[in-house]
Amino acid sequence: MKTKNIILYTLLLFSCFACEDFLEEDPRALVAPETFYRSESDVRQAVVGIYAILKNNSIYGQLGLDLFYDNGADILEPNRSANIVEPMGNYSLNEAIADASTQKMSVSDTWKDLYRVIYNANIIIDKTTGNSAISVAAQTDIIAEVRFIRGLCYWHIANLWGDAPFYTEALTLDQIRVLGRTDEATILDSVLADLQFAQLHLASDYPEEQRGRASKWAAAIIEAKLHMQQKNWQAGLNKSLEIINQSPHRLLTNYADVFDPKNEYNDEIIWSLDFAKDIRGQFEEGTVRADGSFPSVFGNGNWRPSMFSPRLRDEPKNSSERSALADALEARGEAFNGTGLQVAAKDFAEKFPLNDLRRSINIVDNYLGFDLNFPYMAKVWNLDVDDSPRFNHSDNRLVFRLADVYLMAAECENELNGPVNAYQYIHPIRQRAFITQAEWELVGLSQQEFREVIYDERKWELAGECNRRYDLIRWGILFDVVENLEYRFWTPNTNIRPYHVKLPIPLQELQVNPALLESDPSNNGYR
Amino acid sequence: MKLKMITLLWLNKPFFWMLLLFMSYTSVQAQVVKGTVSADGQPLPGAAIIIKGSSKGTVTDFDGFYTIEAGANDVLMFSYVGYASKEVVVGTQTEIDVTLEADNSLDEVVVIGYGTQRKSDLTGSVSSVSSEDVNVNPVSRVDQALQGRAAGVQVTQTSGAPGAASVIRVRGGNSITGSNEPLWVIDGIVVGTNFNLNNINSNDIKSIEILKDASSIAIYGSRGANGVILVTTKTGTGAHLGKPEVSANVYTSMQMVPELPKMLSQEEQIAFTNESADFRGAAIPFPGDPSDYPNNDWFDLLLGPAPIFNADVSVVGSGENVSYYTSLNYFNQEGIVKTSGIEKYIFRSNIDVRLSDKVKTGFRVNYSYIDQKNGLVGYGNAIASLPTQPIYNDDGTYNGFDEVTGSPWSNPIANMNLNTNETFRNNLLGSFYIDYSPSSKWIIRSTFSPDFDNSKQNRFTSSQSPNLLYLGEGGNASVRTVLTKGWNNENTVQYQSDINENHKITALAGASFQKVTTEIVESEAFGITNDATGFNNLENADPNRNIITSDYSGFQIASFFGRLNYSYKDRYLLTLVGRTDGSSVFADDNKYEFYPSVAAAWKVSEEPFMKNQETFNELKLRASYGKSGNQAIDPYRTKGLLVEANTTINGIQQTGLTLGRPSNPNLTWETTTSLDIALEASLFKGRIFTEFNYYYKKTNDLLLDVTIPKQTGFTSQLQNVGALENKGWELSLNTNNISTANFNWSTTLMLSSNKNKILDLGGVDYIDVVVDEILGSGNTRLIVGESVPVFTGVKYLGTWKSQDEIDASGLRDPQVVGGPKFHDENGDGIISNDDAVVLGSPLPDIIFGFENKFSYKNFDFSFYFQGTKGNEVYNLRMRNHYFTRGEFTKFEDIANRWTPTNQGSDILRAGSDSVTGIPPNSEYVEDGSHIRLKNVRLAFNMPVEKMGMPGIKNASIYLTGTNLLLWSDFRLIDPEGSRFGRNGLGNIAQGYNDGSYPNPRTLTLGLNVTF
Repeated sequence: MKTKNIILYTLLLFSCFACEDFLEEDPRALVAPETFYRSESDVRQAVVGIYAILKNNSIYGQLGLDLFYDNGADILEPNRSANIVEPMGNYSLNEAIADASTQKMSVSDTWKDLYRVIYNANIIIDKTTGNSAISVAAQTDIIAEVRFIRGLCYWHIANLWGDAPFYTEALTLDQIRVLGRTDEATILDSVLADLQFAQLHLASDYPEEQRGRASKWAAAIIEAKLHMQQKNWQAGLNKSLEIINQSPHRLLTNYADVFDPKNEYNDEIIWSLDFAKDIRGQFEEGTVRADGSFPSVFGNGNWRPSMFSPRLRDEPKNSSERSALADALEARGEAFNGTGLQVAAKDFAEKFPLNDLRRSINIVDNYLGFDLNFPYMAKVWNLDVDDSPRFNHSDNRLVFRLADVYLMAAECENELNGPVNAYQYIHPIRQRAFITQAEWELVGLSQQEFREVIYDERKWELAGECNRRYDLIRWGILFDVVENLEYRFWTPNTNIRPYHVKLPIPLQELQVNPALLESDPSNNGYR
Repeated sequence: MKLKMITLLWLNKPFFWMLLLFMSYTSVQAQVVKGTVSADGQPLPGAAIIIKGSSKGTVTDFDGFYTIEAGANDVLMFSYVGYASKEVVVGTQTEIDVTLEADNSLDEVVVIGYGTQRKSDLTGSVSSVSSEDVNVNPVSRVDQALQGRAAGVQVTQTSGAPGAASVIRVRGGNSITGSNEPLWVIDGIVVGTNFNLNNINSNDIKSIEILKDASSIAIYGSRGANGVILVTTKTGTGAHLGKPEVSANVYTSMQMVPELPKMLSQEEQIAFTNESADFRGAAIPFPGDPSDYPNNDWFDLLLGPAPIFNADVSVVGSGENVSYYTSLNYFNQEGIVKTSGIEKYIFRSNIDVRLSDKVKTGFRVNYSYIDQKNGLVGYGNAIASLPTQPIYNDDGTYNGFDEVTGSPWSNPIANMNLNTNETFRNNLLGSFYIDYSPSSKWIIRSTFSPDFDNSKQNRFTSSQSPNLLYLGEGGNASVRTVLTKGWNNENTVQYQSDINENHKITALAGASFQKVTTEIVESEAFGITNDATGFNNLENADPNRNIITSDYSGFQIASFFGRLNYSYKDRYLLTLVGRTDGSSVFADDNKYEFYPSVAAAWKVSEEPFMKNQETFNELKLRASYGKSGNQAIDPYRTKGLLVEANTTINGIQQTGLTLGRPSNPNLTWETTTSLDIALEASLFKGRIFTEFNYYYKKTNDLLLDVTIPKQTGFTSQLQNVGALENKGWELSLNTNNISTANFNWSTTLMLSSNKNKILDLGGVDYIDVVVDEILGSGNTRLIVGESVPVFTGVKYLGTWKSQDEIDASGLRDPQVVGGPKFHDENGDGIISNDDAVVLGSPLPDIIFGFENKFSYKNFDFSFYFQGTKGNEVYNLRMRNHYFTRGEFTKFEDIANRWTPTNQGSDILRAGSDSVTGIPPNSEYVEDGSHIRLKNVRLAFNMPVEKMGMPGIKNASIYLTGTNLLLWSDFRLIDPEGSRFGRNGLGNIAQGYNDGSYPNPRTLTLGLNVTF
């Protein structure tokens, strides 16, 4: 064979595969953004995806928002030292602690997940708008739902951090990563616009198979809160009354029924996030493993009721009666198998009026005849071993309910015109809380006295529902209240500083995006 | 007939049959051969003459004269220290005179990428490990045999579990995100970094070469940066003509439980648990007398001695145009942790056929079947279970509740008896080749190599598991199948020519194509209320609770390469290598990359001015410089991705998707540039051979998951940003200390040191690596200027001795007398990750292997030490078993903790972790330096002739011991092990130990017979 032939043969060999096609990737198992969002069902799946993020630990799934809206105030405390609760519960929070992820519930986790919703929401809106494969009606419905969720997340962001990075378009990563902080007022204007769009286009009520989606009334209640936050009392009152008068929601006659885990979509509830037992493979898996151990990632398997349920090892007060208590619980199909990390604060338990019918499910310090070491909040716990096992609860997450709106209306009316016309809104709430008219009826209060009654009424009525710190901050009294309170073992009363009304932007965020320090070098007072 | 016999045996496990069956071969009639051995014109007294493959031999007398009885097919081996051995086939000769040439120990032939080369002509760094070293002590996996055998190659067993893989680092890790494992090439088939070495019978291996420097790995371009390990299996080439040779090797081992970590006794543990609860104000878990509670020795319950049985049979032979090697291996190992084990059947056939003077063809086929028991209990169960935890309830049922934690408890004894976890694997690795040699100067070769791998894992957790009964959960089961298909096509043309006496060239050009796809299906079912069908009928479960997953991934690589070797006067050598690689995993603009390298060597000893000296037989200086790569990303990583985000609406699960990671089409290869300078010398007539290497490697464009602002909706993005370097030296030294006819003593020492340093992390000073979600961040960091990775944590200073000391400290976190005292490095009054300092690195300063071999008459004896110095180990057990609650067992040191009556102690008081949080701290990090007596071997080569065993050419009996002694200060005893394995997190997170499956002490008795 001649050299020439060898070369030819070689070239032939080399050329047989040397085509560009050979090196193309074939991502058969990958859902790529470039090819998704084509049809209505694609986009609906993406909407389900952002609901899933809302149910992450860091937001509504576990203690995410509870930490920032209820801990470090006068309603909840852990029953022992716990690193999840400590930064807020003891006001030791700083930029670095804000970074450290503890069971996916740190400041940075909440920050991350809220923006994750926002980024996804912007993409969905962008891909849906004008998408010829999706009917105009469906486009509007999808966009309204997504704008509601985006508005909700920006509302939380504004509440927790004030000024913050803000974008409502499908920007590229390189555009988003350098954004500095936009002022809170601009963000809230956008929230308002999103909520109003949602109210125009979302349904008032959903058929049973869609329960768990947010309705226009969920958007309305946030709008009312927004007005009150801005001391726009008339608008707040109007929106509250619109909900009271026009929504299908009504107050239940019995307070405890609102929290019945067997009736999670009752009339009083404006919006609750759906959770179900035994759902595995959720976004961030948090269900207990079959062998009883926990996965290394804590997720949205709904642990929240376990955080409010007692641990048997802490109870009862007389520890020699422990097995008797365990037997008594077992006989009822119940167990103390929670963590006890969210129990009623000392002050809350001591001051809760004894004649208030709401007390029995807000303060449980004796169960089945056994005196307990800690006062537990039974409206959130669930002891049922079969329907709501440890770390695998079917209990929904209540987000908004009508009683809140009544108290909002009462507050707005009082701020506008004094108490005279405000009693009509607070009385329906108090009527079901007390047996006699003498107990529930309020008369002859001054505007300031009524204001203070509202302070307390919201505490007793809405405990553990993620309102308290927001309310105290809104009223400008957080610092005074916490400073003058006695706590079980931590000392938030001596640690709290005026800047604690906002959270710090986590340290790592400042490092990777220095623009976040441009408008406020103090990082909300934390540096 | 032979094949049929093997098939028969294949079906019936007892392999002793083989021995019996092959006994019937008879030997060829012996004849007397005599002659003289001389060198440099002088007779050589004391030269050894041995019949190859047997123990028969003799030595020359004072006049260099010998006589020996040998058969016509026998090969005589003539050897003398300082001279090259010579082999002569007896044939019909009765007088054989031999002249030995001065030894040139550099002149063995070594395998390199796409070819072979005389060691003296090498311009790159290649470590060779012979089959003798691989099989001196029986190992089930070839990687286990490499430990300490090759300088610059660090081999760490991930655990002592049967079939467990090793972590291998050739001259340090070059990547952070990508794999740092070397590329395996088996008989020229590129099988990747992740090939399951259980598929290969170590007895089939002829040699292993490890390519280390830029010049030798550049021919593998983008895949070679982490080093390349070439495995060559035995063939029939060079075997006796005529009657085949049959070898059998049978051994049986007993594995024994090694030294165990020392924990508190039952009584001490009860005291601790009670004290801890009391401090927290919780109820006392054990109010009664210790004797009222169980005292279970969980180590004893879950661990025990376990056997290994191995049988190998191989047939080797050659005819006029065909040569063959065929083998069958059966291996069965039970683990010392109960319920673990591995059973393997491996078949290999290597056949070479000469079709004509110009055309040769052949194949290599390796088939393996593996049945692995994955273990239903872990060593961790033995460490962590409280002695007081009962196995059974009073009524005899399994206990499934931990009273101390108040939660369900997974009972290891119940798990052992009720559950299943097993994996079956089939692997077929083949290679077919055709060689065409139009003239002696040209060789054209084309190979096609398919690789099929298929596995199925079955897992069943019984509904009767006591913890599940407690939870009312029902059992669960899963099956998982993985099918990997790949092929590899290589085409090369080689040209070799001696232009004239002074100039010689060898040139190679080639093209290579590969495609690998993997498909996975897994089904998992829950709520199984009966044990009737186990994992075989997953629909026998709660219909609403199941997980079904499937996946597909694949990649293709196309490469074009060339190599030119030029030598001038056989003194000056030059090698140029270039390879262009194209990979599917990168986006269109970045698919191709070119990797060049250059190497040169100078054989100083060939120079005229060296002719008159006696010291050096060989002296060679060489250097190489070049580029190699690492395709450190998985397929599809340049693309964005939507991930599953299902959730419920009205209690019904809905499919949801959300953006899971951002795309990055700019991703490109990690590139390692390396420089290697080496000196090789053979001294004093070959009594000493030594090689010293210095190298420097720098990797650029490191692929890193870079933290990006979370306001983008993502936490990180894979980018090419960082750089790191490895530099170090390697020394190997082989000496023939004593060499006489009856007694030989040789020594091998391997010593190497690698320093790894991060040069750049894309602008940030450090990156926290989260190795464990519960441990959180702050314990492992990548820091610019430090090695990959470092262990970090807060300094533990002992205990607080008084309230005054606490008050004066200025710490704002709660503290308690007797509680842990941590160093507030930044002085902000808070103990946090900000106070973390560097506590150590898992990378050793020195790794070494040291072997001595002795032979006296028919006895061989060798021992082999191996170890590391200067590495640290992160003890993942410290948090639970030293610092925190009483519900965990505690190390024995805790007996001496702070108590009101022992206030001088620097070990924290029981329960004080409830006041002061326990951050990752300096106590977690321990010294990992160790020396292991890895092997001891004693063999007796039977004088078969004297013993009157006709038909047997060679027989030896051996007794070996493995892992007999270990010197280490580690609390968990054996610092070797890798919690996070060799991939993923294991790419960098080495040195983490949570009490991995212990390396057993093993005694083996074996018999080798050749007919």
